[in-house]
Amino acid sequence: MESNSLVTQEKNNLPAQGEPNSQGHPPGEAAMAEDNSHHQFITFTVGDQEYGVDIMSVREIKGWVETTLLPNTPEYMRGVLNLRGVIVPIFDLRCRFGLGKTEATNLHVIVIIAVKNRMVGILVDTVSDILTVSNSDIRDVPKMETLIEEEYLSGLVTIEERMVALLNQERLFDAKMIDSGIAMSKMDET
Amino acid sequence: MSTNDFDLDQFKATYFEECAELLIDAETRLADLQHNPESVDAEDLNAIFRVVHSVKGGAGAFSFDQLVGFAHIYEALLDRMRQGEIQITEDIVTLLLSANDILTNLIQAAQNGTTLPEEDFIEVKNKLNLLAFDQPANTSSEPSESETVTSGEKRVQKYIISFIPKPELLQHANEPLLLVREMKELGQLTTTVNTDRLPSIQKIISDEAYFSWVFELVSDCSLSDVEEVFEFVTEDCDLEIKIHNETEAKTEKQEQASPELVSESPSDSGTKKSLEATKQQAVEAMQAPTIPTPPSGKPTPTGNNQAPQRVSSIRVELDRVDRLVNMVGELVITQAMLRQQVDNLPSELAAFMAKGFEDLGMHTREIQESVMAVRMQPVKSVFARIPRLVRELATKLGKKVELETSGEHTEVDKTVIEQLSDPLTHMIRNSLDHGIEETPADRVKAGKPELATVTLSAEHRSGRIHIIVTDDGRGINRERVKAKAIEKGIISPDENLSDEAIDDLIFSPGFSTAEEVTDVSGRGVGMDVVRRNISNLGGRISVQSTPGKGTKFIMSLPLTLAVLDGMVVAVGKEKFIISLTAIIESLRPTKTELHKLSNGAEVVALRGEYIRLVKLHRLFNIPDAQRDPSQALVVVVEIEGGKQVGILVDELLGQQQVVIKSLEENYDPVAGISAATILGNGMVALILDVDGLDAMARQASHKHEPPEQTGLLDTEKAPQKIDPPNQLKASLTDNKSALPADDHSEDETRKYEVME
Repeated sequence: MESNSLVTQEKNNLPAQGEPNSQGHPPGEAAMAEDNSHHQFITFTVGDQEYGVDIMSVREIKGWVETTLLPNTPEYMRGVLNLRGVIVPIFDLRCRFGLGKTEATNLHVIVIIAVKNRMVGILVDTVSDILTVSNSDIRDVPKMETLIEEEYLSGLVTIEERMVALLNQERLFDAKMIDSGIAMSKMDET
Repeated sequence: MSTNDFDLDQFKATYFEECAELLIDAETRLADLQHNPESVDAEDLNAIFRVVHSVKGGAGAFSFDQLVGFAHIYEALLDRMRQGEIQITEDIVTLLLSANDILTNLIQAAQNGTTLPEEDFIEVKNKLNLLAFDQPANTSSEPSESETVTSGEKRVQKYIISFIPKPELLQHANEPLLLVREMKELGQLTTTVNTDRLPSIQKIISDEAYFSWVFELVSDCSLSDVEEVFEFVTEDCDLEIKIHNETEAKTEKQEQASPELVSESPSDSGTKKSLEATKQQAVEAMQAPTIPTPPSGKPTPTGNNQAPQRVSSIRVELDRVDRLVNMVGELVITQAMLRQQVDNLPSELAAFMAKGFEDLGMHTREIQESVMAVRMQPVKSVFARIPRLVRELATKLGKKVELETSGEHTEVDKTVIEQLSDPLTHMIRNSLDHGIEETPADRVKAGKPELATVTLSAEHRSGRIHIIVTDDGRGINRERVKAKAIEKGIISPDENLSDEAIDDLIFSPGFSTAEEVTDVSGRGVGMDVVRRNISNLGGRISVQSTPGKGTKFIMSLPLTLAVLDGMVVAVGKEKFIISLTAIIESLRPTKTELHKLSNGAEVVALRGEYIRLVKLHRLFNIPDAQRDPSQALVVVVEIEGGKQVGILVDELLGQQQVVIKSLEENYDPVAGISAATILGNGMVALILDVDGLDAMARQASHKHEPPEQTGLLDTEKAPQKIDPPNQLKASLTDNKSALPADDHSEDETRKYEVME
């Protein structure tokens, strides 16, 4: 809750600062050395893994509601919902990472984020925290066997023993990536 | 009033917008001239003159010198024409048409910040020049010359100009300073400012004009030259122009707009000869509606005597209208949502609410219709570009073609208008290039007039707009079309196609029958692109052709892309919307009416016709749907080319007006789905693309086609594990590329077919 109010505060501050700070730097700290500049992330869990997205791309967080399925789309495409008159597609993050389809209940959460000029929703288990991370604390993703992780993560952060994987949402929902995702899941089957 | 670059850009945008409208007007009137030059309406000539004049005026303000130069000559010719000095002949009209085209090009060039190479229009310019100025006795643009003839030398005169702006002068975007500068170019200018009207500083309204001026201009120019300076502000000021040494005569002159002046000039000492009077009269005639103080209302020879036109329309940014349309859309959805909630109330409450909702529903519908009407525009704006296209193409192709248009006042939503231009251009090109015989001589040989006719018409028909392009050319050469289709692998050689089906092949991707690729059309991106564009708009295009007689393309489009009257249907747990305009009927077939073809396609017999079934649950892989057609419902819909297919659904849930929402705004296109909407319960429902579904179904059965290749038994034993998304992806891509599918997907399709 405390962290929530922090967000509100920052948003309220923005107009007073004159220049909208699209990077999500807390006001006042933008002047600091680049490596020490801060980013804020909203983190959520899928299974026992924690993921984070840039707070500035998050538009809304809402509970799971029934969606309308789109025919002949990949399994992790969970259909579309009506977000105040806008049709928004929902992606199942667990399924996207090849960990099986989420059995969505009322307790599951949809995080609506802006990716380029589109709005998409990602289905996750719970929303856990808001992190303020110094850029210098963000670690590169080590090269791994499975391509997925490396491609779709922009970095890793360690917070009190927990590892949070930061999502690269632009890649995650890029059409080409979706295609290769299908190809990969097919490879898995065989 | 400071004008920085930003402001200027804004004005420029407005100017170009206006130019576009003006040119459309001029083009329409020129087309009239062309068709019946005998009954020339003076009003038409005046209107064209005014168009060119306005273009010139604006261009001058932005210093588009090339444009001004050309417009000036064009204007001068028009001026002589409307004064009857030049007879309207076919040649002249042709010249005017090309002048108009050049004017359009020049405006475009100015808009892009470039200029046109002189050689592009020098020929027309010279012709115009010759006609407009080559008879010095009657020269209208250089009156001083005629004065030279009469008085032997240019007379230097002193004009006293009293210029009292009305307060709204500045609000109408007029700048006195510009007038002063312009006068300064005419001669020696002395300016006296009168600041009597200036209020105390607290009361100043920044965009009102408070100053007035008295100018003394010593110049050898004519009175009309001086008047021209004030041409655009006459409405916004009290203006008096006197010639100093002949004060009386000139003051009088202001009041003489009467024809007598032509024959008998009572004025000043012989300098004003009748020619000058004619000129003067013309200038005044043009200004008659706008000069505030003359004893006007007298009919002038040009007939231009109506009162200044009241503003009956306003210019609104499209953004605002769109926002309004969106909000009304939301309102409709919310209203439907509430309406549904009422049903859950206890009955006595529900009855109480029902009346209110009935009214609310009516009002919302009315608001929606009014708002949609705001965006309705006549198709004229698209049609008006076509004559020019036809002219240019006809010249390029060496054909003689006449364009006839009708129904240009038919209204359709702005969103449709915007999308209409490209397909229409393509269709016209196609008609000229392929439809009409190679040469006029060929036509004569075929017993037809040399001049070919292409007709373009628009009309409303059952909630849609029909746009029809007809030519009286050679018609579709079915033999060649078929041969080509076989050659390109679009059909197999042994396929037996009806004439209509062959005609329809010209819409196949990658199809072009032109022997040689011309730069007009026939680059392989042909009618298939047109069909796709139109189908993206929820429209259909079909062709009717009579060999030797001509071809007719019929384009049918929805009136708006914002709302749709739809039928809600259920398949399994899913709900879909089918556009009501596509639905012909719905029925539950008996077992005897159902037949299965050898290629696996199922048909239903309906009054002697066989209608192919499109099984929605199969294409969309929907579980729990009614699989037995005799237990389900068949919705018969009309698809492209007027063909019918039956879409198999579980049940009909009722009809409803829905607001069309784009699925592609946040996601990619989905095969078989044209858009989405929001139902009363807030859930998203998908709007079916019947043509797309038909293509999907055909693709599925087409792959199945050569049954002898694989025995049915084999396939039946094939493993049941399939991946529908991939199968459909394959069929979707195939559909786009129209190439034979690779073995892999063919295999899968078969498995899919057999799944049931």
